[in-house]
Amino acid sequence: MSLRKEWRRARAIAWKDLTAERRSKAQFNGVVTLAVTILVMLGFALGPDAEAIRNAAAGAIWLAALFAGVLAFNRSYQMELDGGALEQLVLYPGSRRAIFAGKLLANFVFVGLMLVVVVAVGIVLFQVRIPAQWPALIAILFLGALGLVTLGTFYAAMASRSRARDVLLPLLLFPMLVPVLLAAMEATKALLGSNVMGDAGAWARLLIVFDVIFLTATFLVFESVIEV
Amino acid sequence: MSSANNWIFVGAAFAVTWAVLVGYFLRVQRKLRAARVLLDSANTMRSSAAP
Amino acid sequence: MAGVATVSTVQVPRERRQFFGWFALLFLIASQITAILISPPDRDMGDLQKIMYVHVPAAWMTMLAPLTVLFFSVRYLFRKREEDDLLASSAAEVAVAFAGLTLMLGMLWARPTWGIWWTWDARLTSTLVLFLILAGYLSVRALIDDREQRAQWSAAVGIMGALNVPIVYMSVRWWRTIHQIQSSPSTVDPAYVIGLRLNAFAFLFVMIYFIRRRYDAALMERAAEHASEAAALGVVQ
Repeated sequence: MSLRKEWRRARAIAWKDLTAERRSKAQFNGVVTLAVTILVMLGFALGPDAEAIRNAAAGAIWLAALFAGVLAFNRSYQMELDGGALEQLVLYPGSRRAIFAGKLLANFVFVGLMLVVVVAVGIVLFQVRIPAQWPALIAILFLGALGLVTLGTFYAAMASRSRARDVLLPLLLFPMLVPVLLAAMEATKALLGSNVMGDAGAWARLLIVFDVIFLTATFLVFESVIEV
Repeated sequence: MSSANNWIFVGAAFAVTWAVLVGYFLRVQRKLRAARVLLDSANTMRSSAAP
Repeated sequence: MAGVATVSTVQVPRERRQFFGWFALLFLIASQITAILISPPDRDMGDLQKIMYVHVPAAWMTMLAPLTVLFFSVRYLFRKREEDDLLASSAAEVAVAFAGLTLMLGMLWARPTWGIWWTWDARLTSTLVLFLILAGYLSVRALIDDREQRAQWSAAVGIMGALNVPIVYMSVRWWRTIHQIQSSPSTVDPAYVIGLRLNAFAFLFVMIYFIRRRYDAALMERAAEHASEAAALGVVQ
């Protein structure tokens, strides 16, 4: 199957996932609300001392995005599971990568938008100032979300189809996300603390490397996961 | 850093090591034996069902 | 009632004499005694140095085992032979045992050295993450009932997990360097090298034996499963 056809199929899948009925808007609202709730809970856990809160901002933002995002990942396969459409989709030759790419794209848009809200709320709740290098912050959010969504979509392909889906996804996903989260949190921390830009740059470069590695690996292995 | 204290930790380390190694070995032995029992009983059932 | 029965494509292991097992055991005992007797106390650590003879080999095996899982997982995806799946899962279980051991020994080292049970040291932390990754692998095996699905997914999880091990280590180490925490010195005085090598090989033999023995158990379980199914279906021997 040619690359262009695959890309079109991926886009179609992503589009379908993102626009499926009113369900997706309700889901988005639900997940964002959950993320904000988690931020508040973390605020209680770590505050109210201003300095402690400010130091914890980056970590809290990414953890809130992670815990809320986990729900989105399992749900992203829900439609196919409900309708039994997954077996059908897989039968088309060369479409497996397209399925992964499509799901990944949809999840990325979903999690990306959620992350924007979480960061905005986090900046307020955790009393950090919007950094001068906010474009750099956007870049870090982009790269971090990419790593998060890549692994999340990959493991959800298995977890969502198992009996203990709610436990299995975080169990498999979280340890695998340590490098990505570490890099994203540290880079965010450096930027929000109006710190040495150099730190953020080094972590950003690491994050890019991680993203490339995980994107490649998941694309290669996804076929084995979805065909069975 | 008292010497006597250190020996406690060294001793504990070796004890833990042997506990884990022996423990795991016993676990595998148990699995093996249980499976063999299951296999034998299943085979007996099959041969006794033969006409 | 020992014997070799062929059950579909999976062989039932013969009850053979465990020569290699006895050898590994005796070699380990001898290595430990030798190392303890011939090594002088360290300048700084005193007799605490002796922990190295179990801690370091355990840590090395913890690094080696995931590679074994990786190898058999990849081989399974290519050949789709059940033996590879069982070998991978056996290696993973043994890896968990060694990872757990490494963590406990690491803590037993940390407490007298730095006064605390846990430091977010790069190696200790990476071992903990690896332990969690392996626990995830075993969860997949426990929760998935369909045999083919379980084998494929285990292989996928095993491959991704094994690939992540060096990445996790690198990122945690960088994380600590950024926060200017010195890593623990790892220079080994030549006086200790012989004892260390001996014990490293001893652990290697033990690990190999464990994987083989666990694999035997897995084969036996598989054969028992197959025979039970056949008995239930009324298939005559």
